Amino acid sequence: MAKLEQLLQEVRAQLGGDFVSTGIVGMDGISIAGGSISPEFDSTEASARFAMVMKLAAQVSNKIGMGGVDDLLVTTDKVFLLTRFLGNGTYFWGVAVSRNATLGFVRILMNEYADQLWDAIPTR
Amino acid sequence: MSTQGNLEDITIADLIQQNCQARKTARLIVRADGEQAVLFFAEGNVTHATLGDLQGEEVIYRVLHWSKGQFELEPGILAPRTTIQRSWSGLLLEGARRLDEEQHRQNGNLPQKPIHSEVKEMELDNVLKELGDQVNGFITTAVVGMDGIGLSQFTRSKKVDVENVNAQMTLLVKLVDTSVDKLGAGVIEDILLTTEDAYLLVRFLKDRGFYLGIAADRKTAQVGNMRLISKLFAERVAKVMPR
Repeated sequence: MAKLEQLLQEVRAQLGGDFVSTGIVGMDGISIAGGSISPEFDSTEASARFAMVMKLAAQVSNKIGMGGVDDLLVTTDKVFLLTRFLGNGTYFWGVAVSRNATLGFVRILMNEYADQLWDAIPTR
Repeated sequence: MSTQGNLEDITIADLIQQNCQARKTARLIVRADGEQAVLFFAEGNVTHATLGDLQGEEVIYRVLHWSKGQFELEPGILAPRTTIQRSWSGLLLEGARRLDEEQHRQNGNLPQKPIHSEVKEMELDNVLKELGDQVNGFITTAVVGMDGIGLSQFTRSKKVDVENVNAQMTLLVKLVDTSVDKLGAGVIEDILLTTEDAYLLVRFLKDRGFYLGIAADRKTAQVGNMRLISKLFAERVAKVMPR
């Protein structure tokens, strides 16, 4: 688990001042690692809600014949919320960054770290 | 070979729409109340029109009032000159606006189904077609209500069941919207779902009762292009949405 936290710290460092929060979440909606700049951020609720979103996204994509889901990007007036499945899809990784972030860079960073994070999940 | 008919069976607005959408080159002669108007079509537009000494757009606005009379459509005849620059849908929109205004002035009541609204629907269809031309790897686009029902759509793929896509994507949009709202993460502008085969982009329209959805082939589409196009077209869609 230390490796997982270390990788997330690396990601956080690379995102610098644009970082808002991140989490590795199982499809049961329970987070196994993560962090946020805001102490008020409710990671439990965020994990549970976005697990439902990712499940539905996978179902929707399947029903409309567009193949499996890779990732989801939500743009709000405050943040970019990026979520992507890891490995065989039993976990997903969520990252929230400020609207000042360079979106292309965040996506590349997530591509770069996705496999490493999957490998670092201890019991799967 | 010419086609003849009666304006009680087909309106002039429909004749203009049909000939322009089919990109026909043709001359349309319309006779009503002792007057004769001549309209020319080419490359998807009305290019020239005459009515007595009158020429150009004003002829179109006059003949759109005609509900009785005869017409004769002769294919393959080019206009002797070009006096109309406005798109056919723009002509119908302006004509309908004038008709609405006139009817309103005459009896103080709006028509039961405003023609303006029908023309706006045509405008919306055209905007979506134009959007399709500007997105690489375009598959389908639609304006969808939060009830999951499409208001207007344009697709290039026969494999896509647009109604199903609209309904399914709306479920996802609603759940994402609720989740983001509960988390206090702001107001959603757009949602991009990346799947193995496609990019599915959703952008809320201004009143948030509708959204603009675009699907494009993952192999050829560019996310940045899609987001930019969706932003530009969402504004145009909002302007031509029937109310």
